Amino acid sequence: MKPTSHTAPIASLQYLMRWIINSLVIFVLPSLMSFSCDSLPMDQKGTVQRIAETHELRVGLVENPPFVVRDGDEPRGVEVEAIKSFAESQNAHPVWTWGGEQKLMKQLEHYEMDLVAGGLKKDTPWKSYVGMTDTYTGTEVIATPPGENQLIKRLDQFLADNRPEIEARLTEATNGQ
Amino acid sequence: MSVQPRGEIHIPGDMRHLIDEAWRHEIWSIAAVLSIVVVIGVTMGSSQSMKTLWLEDLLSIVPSIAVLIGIKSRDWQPDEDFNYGYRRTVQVGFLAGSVALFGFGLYMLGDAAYKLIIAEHPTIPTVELFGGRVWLGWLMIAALFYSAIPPFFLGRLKEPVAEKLHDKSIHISAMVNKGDWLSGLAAIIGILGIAFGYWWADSAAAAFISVEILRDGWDGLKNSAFQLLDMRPTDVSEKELDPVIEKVEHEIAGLGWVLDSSIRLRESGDVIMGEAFVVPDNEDHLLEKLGDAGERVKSLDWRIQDFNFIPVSSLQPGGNNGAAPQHH
Repeated sequence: MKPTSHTAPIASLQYLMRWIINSLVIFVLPSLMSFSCDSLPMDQKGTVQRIAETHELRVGLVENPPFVVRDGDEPRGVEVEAIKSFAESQNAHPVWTWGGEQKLMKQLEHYEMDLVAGGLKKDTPWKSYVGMTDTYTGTEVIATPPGENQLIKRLDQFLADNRPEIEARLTEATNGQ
Repeated sequence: MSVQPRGEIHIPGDMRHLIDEAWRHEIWSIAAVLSIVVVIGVTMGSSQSMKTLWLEDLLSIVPSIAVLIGIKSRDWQPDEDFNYGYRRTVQVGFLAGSVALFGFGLYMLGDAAYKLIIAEHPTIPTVELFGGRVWLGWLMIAALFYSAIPPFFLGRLKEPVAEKLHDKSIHISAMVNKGDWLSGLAAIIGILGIAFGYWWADSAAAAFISVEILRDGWDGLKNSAFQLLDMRPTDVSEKELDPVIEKVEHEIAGLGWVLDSSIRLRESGDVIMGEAFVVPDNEDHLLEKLGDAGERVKSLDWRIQDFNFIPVSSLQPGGNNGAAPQHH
């Protein structure tokens, strides 16, 4: 009886070490070897890859100044400018579609759009159906298709990197009204 | 008129340090669970497997609390109102906790199955950390690794104590810990699946974890029901009959003055109670003989705390059997 009570913690330590090493060998090493950290997480429907192949970023726009402004058919606004630069950074050009929030969100949910912009708030009821970036400033987010985690990651990174410019443009637009 | 209750329970002194050890394990368990619940809660996001694991970890506090209550109540002796003592306090808590586990397990399994059927693609965003953007999934995996470590050790520390104390509630607590770290591992695989773009990985891991919760609940329900129904003594995992049954039978059969005998034993928490119906060869010095036999049986195992002899003229139904007194 005595020996078991003394060896048990050592045995479990060995077991845990083996488990950690196995986990490293099975999961972490292959992911480090075959994927650079940039390519993870992957999209579940390959949106980023499709954008890279077609050079098209399909963007749904809901009019909502100063984030999305409709000037004839030409879009302007803080989010529009940000998405233009993002598309450029992805070696693509935006393809704009004007519409109502309901219709565009449905299309986004079914991967018929790549982004929907329109000064959406982070607590929008759509959040359980589509993906969202983090708030790029204040409470505003840009919607993505559900589960396209690589797209979200790239857009989040872009918005974070360009935050000072976006904020400056937003202040300017608000003062100009 | 006050009745002096019988059947006081006295645990041998060398068991005391084991009980203290069990107490410490459960206190550590509860502290670990609380920290895990916070860490998982902060990183949970919209991941189904994280949500399910969070619930499993939270509910794993139930067996720990049951063990603590059991330890606290084990010194309560039988009194006027509860003549058989308080050993079943644990069972009451256990039954309630198991119903909760079972119910939540079913609910979470249904939830995971629903998400698989509607093919929900879980979105896991990035968060700001130390001025950079980090995918929340990596933080989830870190939290899950943390959540797997304490139960891994605690389960292995508890098991030998459960066996020595013959305490089924500690055994279940250890089993739940084992389930917890397995579930943590399953959730890690689920999140890694998401990282590699497999939308179903998260919900599949969640379904696996729900089954773990269901199993914990089922084991608890079964254990409580069996004990409430006074099942014969078994080992802590309820797989084998307790050898103590045979020992008692053998001891009584070996008494020279006993012509025929029949025993029944039940567990009340960790201790064993029961009675023997014996047919004596004659009634000379019967009281002394019964007293001596009682001491012999109790000395077989410390767990036999309350054992009664009932002398009968025959074991046949209709004999003067004290087990089922007729009321007129």
